[in-house]
Amino acid sequence: MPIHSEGYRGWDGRRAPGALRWAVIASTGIRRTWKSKWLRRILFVAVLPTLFLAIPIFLFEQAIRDPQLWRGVVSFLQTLPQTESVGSVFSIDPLTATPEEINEARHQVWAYLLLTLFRYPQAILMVLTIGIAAPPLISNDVRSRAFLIYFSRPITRLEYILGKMGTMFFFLAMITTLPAILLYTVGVLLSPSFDVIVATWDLPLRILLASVTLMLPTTAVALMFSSTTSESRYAAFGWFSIWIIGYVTFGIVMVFAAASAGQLEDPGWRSLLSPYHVLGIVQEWVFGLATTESMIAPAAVILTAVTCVSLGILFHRVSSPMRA
Amino acid sequence: MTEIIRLQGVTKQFRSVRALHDVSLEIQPGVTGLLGPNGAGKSTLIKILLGLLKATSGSGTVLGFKLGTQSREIRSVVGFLPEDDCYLPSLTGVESIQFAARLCRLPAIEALRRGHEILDFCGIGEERYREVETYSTGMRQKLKFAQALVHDPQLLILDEPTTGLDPDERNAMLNRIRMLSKRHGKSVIVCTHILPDVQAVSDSVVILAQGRVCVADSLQELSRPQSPAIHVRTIGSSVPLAERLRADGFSVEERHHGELAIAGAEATAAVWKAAEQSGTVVRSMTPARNSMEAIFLDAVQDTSRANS
Repeated sequence: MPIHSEGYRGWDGRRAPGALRWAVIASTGIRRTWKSKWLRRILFVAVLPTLFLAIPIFLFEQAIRDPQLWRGVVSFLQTLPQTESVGSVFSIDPLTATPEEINEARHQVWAYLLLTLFRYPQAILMVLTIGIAAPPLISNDVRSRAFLIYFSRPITRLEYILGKMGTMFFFLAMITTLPAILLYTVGVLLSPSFDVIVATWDLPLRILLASVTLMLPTTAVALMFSSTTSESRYAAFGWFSIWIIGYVTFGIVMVFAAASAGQLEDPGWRSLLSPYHVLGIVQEWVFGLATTESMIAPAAVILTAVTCVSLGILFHRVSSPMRA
Repeated sequence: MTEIIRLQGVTKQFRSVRALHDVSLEIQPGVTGLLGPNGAGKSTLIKILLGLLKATSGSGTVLGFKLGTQSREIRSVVGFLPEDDCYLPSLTGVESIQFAARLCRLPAIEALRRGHEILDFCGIGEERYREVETYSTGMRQKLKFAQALVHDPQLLILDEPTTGLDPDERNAMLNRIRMLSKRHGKSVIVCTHILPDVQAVSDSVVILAQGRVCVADSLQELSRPQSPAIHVRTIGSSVPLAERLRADGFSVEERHHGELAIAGAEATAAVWKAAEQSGTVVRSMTPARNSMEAIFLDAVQDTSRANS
């Protein structure tokens, strides 16, 4: 027995508030997941697109005040993907435009750049981050029978699942919400006047909503996969499969549609085949840049249904070891 | 004395299988051995006590909290050592204990301090910074015990606490259980198949068989034989002593290794006298007790017979 051991001593201290038990599970999950080198690298890389997209915001703000720059900035913006949602901006003449028109153009361009951040670099990083972080979160507990450690304590299934989701929300916020808020902040700081906040005050709220739209279904699906197996590699395989299969299916259907019509078709309902495009439709709507209005409701229904079904399976799987 | 557990008519039905039949039980403070053959319903009973399973019918209390409606309160004041090898991967020993403590709402710093203290108490202080995946079976068993104890529960439910421990560690574990009960007033339920462990530490015994309680009494009461007797061991042959005692009118039974069982609680003085007369050296003389094996087998066989 060590020299400092005093045998058993009771404990009658003051207990912490019970409402944050899920946060204990989440913080421990974050600490365990943080040990992954690859994840830390991804989190570092996630900041870089912010720096790249801050350049167009800076140039746009300068061009509004310096019409000589305007044509160059418009040309640059047109090189970015899917600019049809901000097409009206390109027809503005900053010399003759009213302040309202300028503010509207500013809002559209900033929203477009934030959406671009969500849709392209961060979407890929999101798939990778969840693919690394989520699969072991519950499958390791299944393998090591850790459920008994959790549920023999005053923890409910809901708190357990909230804790695991909290872990994922933290990492997803690090690669989506945080870079987007950083981009917005950098945009404000690079603008000639803080008046831009008046024209763009709603964008931080839209960032939060877009983050929730992204985080909830993706986390629910990834944790559902994780809960169905004791081998995290199978969960990771399932996660990456749905993205790859969805994207490839969408691509094949589009190729066939283009071949039969003789020209590139509007994706329409075909977008609903791919999780990536379904998320994109809802996020475009969140940023006020929706180009396919008719697809918003079906896409939102699909995301809601996928989230609910995944959470249902998750609850069932988490309680099944207790029933055994 | 107020009972720590009171069950009334608890039944648990899993589809076509009835795991518990109308279990009514009162468990007093102290160490209670929960015994039963495989499939007797011990694990189901423990899960119901912890609120992990809901009883199909019946009611009960654990430390005054109602089963079914106050499960969270029950789990706050109960420490559970599961039989299964369960651990939290990629955490060190002390992190694992701290985590268990924080789940029971100990503040973070206090949980860490208490974690170190309990690891020392459980004899795995040297391994506190090793990842639990690298622990041996015995170390994991002690870690589970530490996790059950870290929030200073009033009641400990230990499912096979000595599994995977070497003889020294097994004794140390039983000493810890005994000490927690005697010196710190903890109530302990020890669920095990190792009957000598129960005999070593328990104050009372509950035996389940086929989902029914067939024995629930103090160990002292159960150990008392139906008719009083004393057991005598001798140095050298016990035959002259046995013959002498029979000649004096005592009923003497020769047991294994020459041990004699002499009926009658008042036989002590007669044994000394007979030993002197027969020139036999008495090595030991103890009141006869029912062995735990005998108690267990009798209870289980009686239940089987009653149900067949």
